[in-house]
Amino acid sequence: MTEHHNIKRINPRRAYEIMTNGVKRITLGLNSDYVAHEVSLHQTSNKPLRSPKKAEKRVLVIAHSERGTLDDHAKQCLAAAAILADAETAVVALVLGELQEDLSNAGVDEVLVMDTLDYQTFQPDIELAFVKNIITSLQPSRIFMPDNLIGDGDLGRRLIASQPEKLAATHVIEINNAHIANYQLGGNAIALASFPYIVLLAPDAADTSLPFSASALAIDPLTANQQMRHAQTPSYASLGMQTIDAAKIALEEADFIVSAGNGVSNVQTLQTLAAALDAAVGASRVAVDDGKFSRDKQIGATGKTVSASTYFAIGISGALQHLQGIKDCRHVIAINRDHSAAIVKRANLSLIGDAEEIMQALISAIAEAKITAITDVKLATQEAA
Amino acid sequence: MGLNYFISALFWLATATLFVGLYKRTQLWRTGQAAEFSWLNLLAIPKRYFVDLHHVVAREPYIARTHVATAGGAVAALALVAVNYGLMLYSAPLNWAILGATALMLIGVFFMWLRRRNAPARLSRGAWSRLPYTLAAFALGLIIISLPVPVISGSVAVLALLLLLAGSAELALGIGLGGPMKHAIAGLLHLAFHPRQTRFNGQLSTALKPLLLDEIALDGITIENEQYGVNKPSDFKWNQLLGFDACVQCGKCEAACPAFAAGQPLNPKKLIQDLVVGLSNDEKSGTTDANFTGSPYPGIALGEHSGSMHSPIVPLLIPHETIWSCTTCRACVQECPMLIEHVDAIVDMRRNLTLTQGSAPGKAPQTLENLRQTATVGGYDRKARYHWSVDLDVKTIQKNQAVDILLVAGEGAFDMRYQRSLRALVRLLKAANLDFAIMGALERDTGDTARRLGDEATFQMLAKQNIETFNGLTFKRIVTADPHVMHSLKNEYPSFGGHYQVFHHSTLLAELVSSGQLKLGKSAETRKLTYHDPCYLGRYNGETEAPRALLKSIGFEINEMERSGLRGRCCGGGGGAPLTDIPGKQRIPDIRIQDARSIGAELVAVACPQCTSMLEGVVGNRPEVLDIAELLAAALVADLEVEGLELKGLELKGLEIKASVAHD
Amino acid sequence: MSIKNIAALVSVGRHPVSGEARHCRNDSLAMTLGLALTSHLNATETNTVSFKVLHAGNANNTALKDYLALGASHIDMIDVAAESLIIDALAANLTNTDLILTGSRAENGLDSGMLPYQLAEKLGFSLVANALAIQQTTDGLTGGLEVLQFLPKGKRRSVTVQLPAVIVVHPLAPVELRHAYARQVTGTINQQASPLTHATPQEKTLKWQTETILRKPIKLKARENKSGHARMLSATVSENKGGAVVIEGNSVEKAQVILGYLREHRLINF
Ligand SMILES: Cc1cc2nc3c(=O)[nH]c(=O)nc-3n(C[C@H](O)[C@H](O)[C@H](O)COP(=O)(O)OP(=O)(O)OC[C@H]3O[C@@H](n4cnc5c(N)ncnc54)[C@H](O)[C@@H]3O)c2cc1C
Ligand code: SF4
Ligand code: SF4
Repeated sequence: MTEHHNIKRINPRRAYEIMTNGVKRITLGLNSDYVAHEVSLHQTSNKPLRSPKKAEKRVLVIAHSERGTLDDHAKQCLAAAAILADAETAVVALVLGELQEDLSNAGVDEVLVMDTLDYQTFQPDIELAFVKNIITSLQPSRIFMPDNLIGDGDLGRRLIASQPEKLAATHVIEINNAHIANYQLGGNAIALASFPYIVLLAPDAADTSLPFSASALAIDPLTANQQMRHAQTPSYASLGMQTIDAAKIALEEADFIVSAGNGVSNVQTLQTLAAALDAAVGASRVAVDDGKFSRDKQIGATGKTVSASTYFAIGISGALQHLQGIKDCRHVIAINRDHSAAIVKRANLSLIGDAEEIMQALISAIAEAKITAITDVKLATQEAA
Repeated sequence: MGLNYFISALFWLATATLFVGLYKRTQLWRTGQAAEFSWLNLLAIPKRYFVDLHHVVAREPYIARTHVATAGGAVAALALVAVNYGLMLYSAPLNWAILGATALMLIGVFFMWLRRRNAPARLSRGAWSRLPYTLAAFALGLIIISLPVPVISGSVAVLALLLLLAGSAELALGIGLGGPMKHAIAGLLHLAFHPRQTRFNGQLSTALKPLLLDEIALDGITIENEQYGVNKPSDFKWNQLLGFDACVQCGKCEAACPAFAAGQPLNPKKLIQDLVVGLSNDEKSGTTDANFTGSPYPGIALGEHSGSMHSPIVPLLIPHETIWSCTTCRACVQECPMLIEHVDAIVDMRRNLTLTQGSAPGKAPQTLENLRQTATVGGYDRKARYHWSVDLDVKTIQKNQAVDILLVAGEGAFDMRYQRSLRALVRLLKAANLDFAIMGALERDTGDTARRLGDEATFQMLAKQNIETFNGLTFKRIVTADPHVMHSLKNEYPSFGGHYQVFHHSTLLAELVSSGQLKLGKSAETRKLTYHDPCYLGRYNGETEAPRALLKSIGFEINEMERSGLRGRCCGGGGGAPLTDIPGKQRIPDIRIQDARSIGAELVAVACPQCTSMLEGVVGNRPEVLDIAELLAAALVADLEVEGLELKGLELKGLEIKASVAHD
Repeated sequence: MSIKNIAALVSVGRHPVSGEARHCRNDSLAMTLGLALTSHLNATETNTVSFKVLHAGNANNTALKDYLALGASHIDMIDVAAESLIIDALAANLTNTDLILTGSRAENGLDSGMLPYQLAEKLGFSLVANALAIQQTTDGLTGGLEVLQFLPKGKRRSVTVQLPAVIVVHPLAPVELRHAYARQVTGTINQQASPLTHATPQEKTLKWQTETILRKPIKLKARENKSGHARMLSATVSENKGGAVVIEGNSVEKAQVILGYLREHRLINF
């Protein structure tokens, strides 16, 4: 597996075809001399193109995909790489697992997809060997990876450990051209360092909205693909995946929680809303005591401590005992009749009004938004075709 | 005259049986751990019986009277029999006396029987239902033989003897075989050797006894000898075991227990009886609790637990949830006619579970960790404890600055709700021109919760740190709005060398009002008010009057709930119970609020942050819960200006925006 | 190959609020998992399994005592002269170990989560991260360990790994930590000096500079030429201290505000 430093360097302006899924693809071996301005005709947005005219350098972003797409966290890495890249640097995305989406709006100039290395199969040794090969052939000046739990945080650390001569930083929460930063001392201090070679980026360190687009040309790492089949007897084997039902997922693990308090009169509405938002359901103690929810749904001092990124507190007053359970939640949104309720002081966004009414309105708004989103995708595909 | 000899023989036989039984039982008690005691206390029994014990029994006059008649009659009769028959005097006048005493006993027994026909659920059945009959048999037998008839017919004599035999068996075998009459002897001895001797000096004795922890380790004595609380019945002190044996299964404790009422798996009477099951069995294999004839632990069937002197109590004999349901409210102790100390026993067992297994349930382990690592219950920043006071212009105590009063806020200070009460208290102290200071970042939790949860190590660590802090400060007295803080500082810190004058805010305020230093108008409230006694203020510290006096002073009429004062019903907040949070059928505060509702109260005055949060946690329409300090502060005459300011301060700082599409 | 020697690595943690030194919860989970596996194997297997708890560093003992209370009967503490020696010191001590358990992230240093990886690399061990549960594989042939791994969104994956291995335990591992004072009193800590005095020619490391005040990180944003109106809008809805409060408007408008917020922060994808 060590001998494929022969991966070809690719000119991002090469010929490509648009696949049925909307991804532009260059096939190695085909040669043509399409130029950049033609590419821009196919941009779905009317943003200016950032891609370098002449890519002297590359930065590499490595991330696993999930169901054919990169998640927001991975896109933040792409965005960070693109924002920080200068005019001579191309952003190359190495996607492990299938890719069904166009990454041109994510700031990517070139895309390598390795669909056999999807995140569901545990094969870290193979992934590491592959990634190292790609690195050898691309010689990126910087590597970005999302510090996540779907394999990139793990792979990134293996990569860092395997090349101790390179500088690296993990859990990076702040990034700019001058420095990177992360929390240390158990989250009690922010520490800064100069920009290292490998950055494992924590969620939300970069904004994915970009004022530019890029060419996002696909490159087939065919050689690599074949190489992988000959991997040595692995030390690892996957026995299989299980998925816990979204509704049954432990609250501690849930990332989006819709939580009901005494101000929720109609549990059904709340459940519908939670389903629409694909969220887990929690409750205040009063709502639990009322028999509306089972005890394991209780959040707070005597219930669960949750760390969802979104906590939607509906009809919850925000008693101290309740707030104790949500101190690690990043976004708290409250619906409450009473603007002086303690939850309003804790919430990032509070809507004052009747819970039932707002929930109903929100359910309709979500349904509408989902329809629009689907039509948008359809329109985009049609347009692309 | 043959009958007389028979009776003498019977008397001595019974006496011998009794002593053999007593010896056997004593051996069991002695399996327990050594405890300090004095034989001289045996002399104190009569006073303790007639004053201290009777004081409790007399709360139910019917029982008091039947017991006086039955027991008094029996004791007198037995004493007379001992003289007349034991010493073989066979004197006719003494027989008359016996007749009189026995008749009295029989009357008592009759009323006992009468009540047993409609026994309340808290009473045990089984052997206890037999008691009126066996005692009646004894009395009748004695009456027959002591009747002034020269000769009685053979069959009547046989009948009398049989009756006597039955009765004597009950009396003499009770102690040895663990029958109901065991209570008489164990009860009297318990009065003499009670683990809390100060209870009989007219004092409240509510502080838990310290466990020897560090000192032992430091002295290099091997730790193996040290017991961390109670694991098996034999780990109790011998006089605690004796105390359990005194239980008469009257179920007064059961009736008073808030956890039992809420359907949590605890019944203090059953708990004591389980311990009796354990201590009665000196063998390896356990005896089950199947013979218990009272109410079981709610939700837990009889016959599934068993124990012996040397096997672990939890969970074999007593389930985990039982031990962790207790709020340490001491209502059971308050009610127990045999002066049994349930809470001590429960905490002893908790200590073992916590210190050797770390198995306290629910949020208790997290809380204990918070206490160890942040010296707060909730894991807060200690420096933030007095943030609510920044705009109130109060002094924070400094090392070299003497103040009269040190205000110790306790954990409630982190709660926005209780901050209102504390702010009110500060306004009152200011209005009374007192020289006081808050403790600021120096304050650590007193460790009360840790101690009730059995974590003596954490409690002692905090106690020592606090005492060190206090010793570096100059103040005359400590005032707190938290009865739990008060209890540990006032009653429990002395064991560790911290002696302070500690006052609850209600006591201090009552003093100020009566001396005229604090001038209050009349409250504008028209709502019907009741006052809820916090357990740690009432039963633990005996303060039931000051809060009432204060409320009356501002014009309230106090409507008492079904249980109040020293017999007040718990809010469910003590003993770490909200943390262990053992499920029941309902919550304890719901019951208390129901008490308030049922007398039509619209306002419940409280004097404790725990009570406030427990009672305010009740769902649905309920009376408003306000701290005494809040009610008093509202009656401060010269305070309108400050109030205006405060309202402004409360106004929302949040930004209001018009609803619009918030994204682009 | 069956498991004979298990080790758990523990570090000194730090309470996030008080800064008090304490056990590191992540490490405690690993240790407790190791204790449970050891006693399970000792109860079911014929060969005896040994378990050791190892700490390298200049730790103050008060925090290590937490691990005793949490169940370690004994802790081996390797006194190392410098932080850069920790990996080498640990590796030297762990060569004969079949299974090394660690937490996922420390709380009193760089907290990079790199230590297990560096250690596995140094020792040439396999490594599995995000472990929720572990058991010896039932068929002796594979000669390893079965690990249940945590994946987000309620997903779990079972994998096998060949021994010797380093297992990094996930913070959500279903392990109950039980702190018992009595164990703290009876447990022992054995301090041994590390034979290493200077590091193997040290790799380059990042020079970290700790800021004095804890602030919010600044998000990297592309420079954008927004219209005046757009800037106004984003200024009004920007997170204020207490957060935005919407009082006016009807439910439909409020629902839109919520959607807007969720979209703005990319909390939904529609
Ligand atoms: C020891 C202890 C431990 C506790 N532990 C916990 C715990 O772990 N978790 C917990 O949650 N609580 C706990 N509590 C209870 C806690 O103190 C509060 O009582 C509880 O959180 C309040 O629940 P709530 O906010 O749902 O109800 P409420 O306090 O009744 O608040 C309801 C809110 O809904 C609003 N509202 C009402 N109707 C409407 C409507 N139609 N539309 C919009 N808004 C409406 C009201 O304005 C109010 O703010 C504990 C209490 C104690 C004493
Ligand atoms: S202290 Fe209170 S809760 Fe505990 S057993 Fe006694 S009465 Fe019940
Ligand atoms: S413990 Fe006391 S109150 Fe309870 S049943 Fe026994 S004697 Fe009665």
